[in-house]
Amino acid sequence: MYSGQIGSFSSRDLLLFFIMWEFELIPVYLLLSMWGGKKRLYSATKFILYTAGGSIFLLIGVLGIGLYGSNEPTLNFETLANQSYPVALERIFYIGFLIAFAVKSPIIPLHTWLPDTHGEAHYSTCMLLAGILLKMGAYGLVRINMELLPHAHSIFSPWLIIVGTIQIIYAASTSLGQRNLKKRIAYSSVSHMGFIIIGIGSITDTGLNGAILQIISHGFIGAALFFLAGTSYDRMRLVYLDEMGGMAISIPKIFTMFSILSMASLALPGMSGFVAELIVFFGIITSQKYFLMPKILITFVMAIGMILTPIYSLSMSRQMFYGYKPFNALSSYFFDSGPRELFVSISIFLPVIGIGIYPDFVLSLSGEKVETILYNYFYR
Amino acid sequence: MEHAYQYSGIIPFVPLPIPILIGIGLLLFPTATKNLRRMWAFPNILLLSIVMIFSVDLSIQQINGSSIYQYVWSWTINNDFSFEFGYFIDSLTSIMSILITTVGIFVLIYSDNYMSHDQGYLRFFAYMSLFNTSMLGLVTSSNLIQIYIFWELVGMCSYLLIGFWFTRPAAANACQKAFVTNRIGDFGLLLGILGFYWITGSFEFQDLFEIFNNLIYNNEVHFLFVTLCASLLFAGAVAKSAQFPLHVWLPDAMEGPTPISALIHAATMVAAGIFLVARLLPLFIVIPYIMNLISLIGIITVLLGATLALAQKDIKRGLAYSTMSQLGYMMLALGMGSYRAALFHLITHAYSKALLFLGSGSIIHSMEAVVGYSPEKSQNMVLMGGLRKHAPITQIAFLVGTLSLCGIPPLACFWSKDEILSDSWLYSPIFAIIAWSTAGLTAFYMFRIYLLTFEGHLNIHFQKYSGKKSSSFYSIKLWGKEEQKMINRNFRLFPLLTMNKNEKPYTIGGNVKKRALITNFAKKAFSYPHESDNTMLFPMLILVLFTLFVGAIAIPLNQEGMHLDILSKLLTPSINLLHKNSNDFEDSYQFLTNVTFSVSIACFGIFTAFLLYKPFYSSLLNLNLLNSFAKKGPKRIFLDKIIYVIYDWSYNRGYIDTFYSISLTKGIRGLAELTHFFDRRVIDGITNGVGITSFFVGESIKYVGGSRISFYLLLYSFYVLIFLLIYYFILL
Repeated sequence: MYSGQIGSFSSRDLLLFFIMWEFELIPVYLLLSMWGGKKRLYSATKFILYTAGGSIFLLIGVLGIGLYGSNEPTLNFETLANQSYPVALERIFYIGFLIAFAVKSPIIPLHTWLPDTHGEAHYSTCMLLAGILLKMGAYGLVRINMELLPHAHSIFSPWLIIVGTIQIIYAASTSLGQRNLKKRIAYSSVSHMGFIIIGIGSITDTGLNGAILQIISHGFIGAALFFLAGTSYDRMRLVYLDEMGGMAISIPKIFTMFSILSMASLALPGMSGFVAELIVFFGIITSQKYFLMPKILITFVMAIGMILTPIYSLSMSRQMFYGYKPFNALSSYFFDSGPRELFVSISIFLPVIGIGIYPDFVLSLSGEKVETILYNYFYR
Repeated sequence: MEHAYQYSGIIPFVPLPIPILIGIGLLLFPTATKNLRRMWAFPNILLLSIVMIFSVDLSIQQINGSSIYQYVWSWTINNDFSFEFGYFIDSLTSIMSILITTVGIFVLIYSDNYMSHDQGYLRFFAYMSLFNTSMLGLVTSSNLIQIYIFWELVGMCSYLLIGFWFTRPAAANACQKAFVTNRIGDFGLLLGILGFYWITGSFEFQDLFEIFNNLIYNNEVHFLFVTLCASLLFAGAVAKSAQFPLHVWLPDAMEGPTPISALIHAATMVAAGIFLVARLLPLFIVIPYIMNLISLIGIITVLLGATLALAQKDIKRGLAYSTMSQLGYMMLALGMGSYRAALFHLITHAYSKALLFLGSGSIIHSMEAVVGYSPEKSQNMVLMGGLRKHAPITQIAFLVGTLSLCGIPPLACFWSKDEILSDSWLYSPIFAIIAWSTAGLTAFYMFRIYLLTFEGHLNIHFQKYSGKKSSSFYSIKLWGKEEQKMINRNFRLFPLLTMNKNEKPYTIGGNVKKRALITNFAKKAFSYPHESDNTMLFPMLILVLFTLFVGAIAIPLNQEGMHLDILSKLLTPSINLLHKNSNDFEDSYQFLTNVTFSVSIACFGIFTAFLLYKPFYSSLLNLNLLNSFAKKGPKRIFLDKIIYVIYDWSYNRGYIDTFYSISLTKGIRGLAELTHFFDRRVIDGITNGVGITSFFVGESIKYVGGSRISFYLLLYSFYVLIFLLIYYFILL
């Protein structure tokens, strides 16, 4: 699985990208179907069907791009990036790729596999899913849709932004209605994906940088949250939030880490999520593509999402940890997190706070690439 | 001299190592760290005193030559955007940092004793230092982004500290409420910041003011948009300082430990909103409607806070509402443009209110041993009374604080409040009348708290007698919910709130055994509350001194014929809308009349409070008198009704909380349910529907297939026939 993921991130070739993309489905499917909750087969099947369905469009796009324009199929990114297409064809390609990536990094109508999968899977699978797999879609959006198809992207980007804002609000409010702990975190990660989409859609340096930062930071935060939820699930054996409560006394370390990370997830300054969201906001504000009123509206709605986020994440941690509940039978199972779990959560947490305090770690790396990508939009 | 400025950037980071160390220690080496316990308090206090000395030095320099110093270094560099971090020292910063550090140190010393039996002692100190760090960062920050960052951090610290006793469900709810309400303010703040960035392209205060003034001067900005942005910025301040529409979190925030209420919810954090408005006053002044909005919000809050404070049972909630009301005064002063009065009141109020809260903490601490460890009991003023004999030093300190808040001359708040009141006459007579009458109300409710707590006899013992005798004699005038059940209305004495006997006791950490012991003890014998330890009394006494003498910084010092006081020296470059000619106290006659008027109003309030909440035994003696009052006729009944309505309103917190919980919380829940339903049924339904139809199609094909060779042959021949027919037709 790792080889599949690294392969798809590092491939410079469309065909290889596609093969790796398909290849990593297999281990995830196995992981999902072997370990997990009661409905794991349902969710695994759902996952594989969704992503395979998305892959068809990806294949169409890949073949179309590869076969267009020359007698020999070319699939290299760099030569493709300089190619231009007729507008209609570019749009068709764009839609094809968009659907494929929208399934992977769930964009709103195609997101339902995510909560089901996350709700059922074992927590280490969840960590991989949230941390890495979701990022492949966003990566593909940046890599293929923005880089290869710039004209179509500038046509579609307002729609992307609108979808992103709807997604932020929609997923955040859906998350409130969840009773299952993992599903709630899953919806929160759907909501955070909205920021990435908005950042990609606002064709600015700032916005794209923010999107990349958000990809990274959400990878860490989401994975860590799933990890902690999983570890506390191991102790509680309860999935539903309203049955929990009063765990803070028995497992203070997990409580501490969980509250820190839920703070990070609601974009507390000093953590990476805040920097990413702030930069995305600036990307929208400074974007020259849009008029004043839509900009105001979009930032307003995004900011409402900012209010909804603490409501669900704090009430989650409140329902889990706060309060008082006598544990009679269960008390023997209760022990605080050992050094291994502590090590994992701290080592995830360190980059989060590192990026939050000094974002140049990432920005200095990503800035250059972002400029070359955006170069296409303004000077061609 | 320059060195002090140069290194002042480290001010916020001096207390930072402590929370980091404690946090790491608690996570990795819990037992070793917990064994050190008290040791951690010392570096905490030490570092904070270093900061205090530093900021005193800075402010002395500000007094001598008030210059603005700014130093900036970049945070992120990119081609398009760059954020810069820096610090910005001016008189406002120096005042605020002195305030934070002094109150902070005393609260730390105090809480060393207050929290000493708590399990979360170290956690508490870590949070406190983190709070100090972020608050100092807030006041020294040089641009709006930095303010926003520290603003959020302060909010988070307050969230953590309110939810400090996380085993109490009430605390858990309160901290979430506080955070979400503050987040609404932050939402406004962020949007406002972004809006102004869009207009001016800068975050730095000075650049911002300059560019903005130019733009206004040239009429280049869209007026409505500017007003919108400014009011959004103001929303941040409204939430943080608990002004009218977003004040609901402050009374609930009293679930936190009392030192926290003293430091955060009375002295420093709630002043952050005032600080922000004061900082951005050059911006707000050029937009006229905003100033009106600010003063309007201020006056509403003044009145609301005062009326709501009238009937609180919980001593800390009463104080919280009074804090809210006083913050309203400051906001009003800022809205009127009298910057100086607002800041002056900020300082004096911070000291007096911190004193009051520490005093109430001391009371609660001593009551806890008697009535049990539950906030409904130990903070309930109904059960208090007569503490004057048992805790004399606390009583003196509390009395000083109360008098100061009422505005009795030699004490601190008198000077500042009087300044605000006299300024309000110049602004608008209606506002002035409201402000004056609220001053009377302030005196009334503060003395109500004082009298209920310290005068009379300890009511908890009476409560035990009251089961045997007729309850009417042992009732106390405290307008509570039980009023509807009241029988003896003609006495106008309302029955005591009966304690909920079967109420679940909340446990705090590992104090269960100890609490059980103590409550058992209390049940056996009448134990009396005792005076607190010296460690708790010491900071209270220091704060008494502050309360006594802080007012002096604005008393004109007649030196070399110049009417200048320290405060106006500090704030000379700042704005004064109302006093165009500089010297405020020039007109001593006007000053005198104002003083007499305000003091008389305050005295009237105090007198009314004495009349109504007279110590219990004396009210027994005067029962006949009260009876005669009560039998005066229908007018009295009407008055009773009015009073009843007022107290009902006040007791239920003006129904605002209820309204919010009905409209907002239910609304959001409903929305969540709706989207959840939508998600489950519609979007997921489509997916599942596709899956099920494909399943059925597969099944039907399987059925059709059926693995019979004759059927295959039939199909085959059928298709061949069709193709032949087509071929035939095409040929034709």
